[in-house]
Amino acid sequence: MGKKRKKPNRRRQEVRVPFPTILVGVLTLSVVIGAGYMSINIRCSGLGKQIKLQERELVETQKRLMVEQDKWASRTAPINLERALAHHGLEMEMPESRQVIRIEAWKGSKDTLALNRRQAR
Amino acid sequence: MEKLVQRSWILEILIVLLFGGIFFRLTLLHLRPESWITKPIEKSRALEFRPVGSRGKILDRNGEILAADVAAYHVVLDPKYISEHGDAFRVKEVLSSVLKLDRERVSAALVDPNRRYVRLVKYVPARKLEFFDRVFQGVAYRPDDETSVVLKGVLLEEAPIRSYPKGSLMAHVLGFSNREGVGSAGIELRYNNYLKGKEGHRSSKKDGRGREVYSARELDIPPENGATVVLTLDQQIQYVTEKAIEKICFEYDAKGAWAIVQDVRTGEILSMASFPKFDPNRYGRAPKEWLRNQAISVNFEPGSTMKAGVVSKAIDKDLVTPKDRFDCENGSWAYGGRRLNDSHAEGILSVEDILKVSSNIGTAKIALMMGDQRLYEGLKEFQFGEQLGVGLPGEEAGIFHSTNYWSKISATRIGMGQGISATALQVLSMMSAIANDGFQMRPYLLKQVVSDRGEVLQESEPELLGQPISRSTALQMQRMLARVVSEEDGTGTKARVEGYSVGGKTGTAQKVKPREEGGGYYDKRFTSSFVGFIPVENPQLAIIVVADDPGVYTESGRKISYYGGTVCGPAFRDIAEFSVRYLRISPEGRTVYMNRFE
Repeated sequence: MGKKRKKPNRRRQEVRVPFPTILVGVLTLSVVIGAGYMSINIRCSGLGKQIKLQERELVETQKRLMVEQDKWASRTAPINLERALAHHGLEMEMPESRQVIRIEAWKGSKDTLALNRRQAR
Repeated sequence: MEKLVQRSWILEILIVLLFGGIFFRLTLLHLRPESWITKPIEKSRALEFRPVGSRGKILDRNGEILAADVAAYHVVLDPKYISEHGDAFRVKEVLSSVLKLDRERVSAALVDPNRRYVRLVKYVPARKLEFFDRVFQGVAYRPDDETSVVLKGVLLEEAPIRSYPKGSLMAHVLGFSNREGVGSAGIELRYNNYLKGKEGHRSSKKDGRGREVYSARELDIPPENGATVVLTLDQQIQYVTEKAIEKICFEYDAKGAWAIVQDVRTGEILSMASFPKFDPNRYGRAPKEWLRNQAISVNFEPGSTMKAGVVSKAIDKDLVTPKDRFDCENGSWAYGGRRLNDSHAEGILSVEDILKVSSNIGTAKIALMMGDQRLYEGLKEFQFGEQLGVGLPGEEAGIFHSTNYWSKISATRIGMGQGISATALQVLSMMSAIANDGFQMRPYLLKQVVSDRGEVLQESEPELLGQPISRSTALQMQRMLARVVSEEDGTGTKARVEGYSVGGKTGTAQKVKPREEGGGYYDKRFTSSFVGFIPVENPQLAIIVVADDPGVYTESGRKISYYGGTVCGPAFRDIAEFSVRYLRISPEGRTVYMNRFE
């Protein structure tokens, strides 16, 4: 009695390449990390550029402010005001004593004012 | 089949290992790179920057800017670039007109086309270059909306400068700082530690074009600007004071003049002026002597102004009363083998009249009555011979020798302000004490120091130096000094202020002749002064005006117009008249609201 030959299982003979789960996982993780890193890096660079730009703007604005303040201080110097008044033909004088109304705090009450018109001497 | 599966596993593991290795290496390089790789790279990419904080501002009591750092530039030319890519004609045209330079000067800078760097003008303030914008390899000049000229090869190099926008106003008090930003005189020197900015530190990396990579910034300590120094001075009062002393020099031919205004209640200095003046923006161009703040650094013999101190001490010690009478010997008196003269012959005068007509003989007799030691100690109590500590470098203490060095006649001379030297500030401080009911306040110029963050670092408070005389003596003295100005035969009538009562004392002292010229005193050279306070009813301000060697010669060779009352009285009046109105001080000495009345 001869041995009965088993019919080879065709399905078992198929070449089955297993899905590289770990590889895909590692690669996906790397891509995610890389992409995340790149994205953060790009955002940081962008913000850095913005900060640098604003820093420069701040410095420039401060410089301009100082220049303007300096110009204003120079224009409001008494000698320059006097020159400006003379240039426009304006004559300004202090009022004489008889032209002055003096309002002084009344001794009786802090909130009450007493009017004292001084006669010209 | 199994082999294949086995191989695929091996392959997977190899790939994982490979990627893992690369990942590990990258991580390692990223987190802990090896020094031999990174050192040269880092060296070439390193960016070390130490920004300097700007120097603090100096303000007056109302916040007016007196000194501040402003942007300025060196205008630099690149003749080679201009000859190859630019327009030399336009460069000459624009720069000569904007910078007010000769065209030849600009042409000369461009003459050598091989040069790459020629500094045309140094330290040009930014306000002069407001129509210029920096562009690539040059500047754009835009004087209006329509015109725009690009000047290639013209560069602006940053070089901040110290600006004094008020020009010569308060120059002697402010002083100046040099090009390195170090205070060299006045407030700039005294408060240099507060004013100077602190250096920052930025450590970073640069890219291929030399620009900073922000994400690589490792250290960023920002620079700190210097603190702001606020002074007690008021620019309006200062201006009037400076004008008044300038007038003295031109009208009375004085070699110099100086003046101080002080708030008697607090000791605050409201103005301090000295003439000749200088512009601190161009301090290098002024002669050295002009830089000196004479109000605190010139010791002079005060002359008759000293009589106020001597008489007040005699009254305070109950040695005399204002009504006591002294024989003024008809204007000539011999004592200790030396003759003493009065400018006007007077007979018997009361103490208050001695002060009013400024009798040397009368004061000498009062001084003798006091005795050397009491006179010395009395004037010492007014701080003569001591620095008052106003807060400026170069303040003199005056010269006041102890009684060990006095001769028999010293008291008679010191009583009339000879043989003692003082600064204008010391004489003013004496008068302030009399005006402030006997309380002598320390004069001060610094109101406060505020850091860049608004924190108050230092603040001055009124400080009592002492009480050299009692209140009752001070009140008597105030009345007596008022007569000097208000009565027709007083020496200070020219110091009157309309609507206000003024107290004060004139001084006309012969100048000391240097030892090289034989010593003694000059016959016709004087230091004239007026020191007073306003209003007498409730003194608020004390003012001193001093003129160095004033006077004009007549055709006959006689010197006239040199008396303290004549020369300094009107200047006192001008300063006081403006100050009381500006500060809204009523004739009764109260601060009031004032308005124009039609």
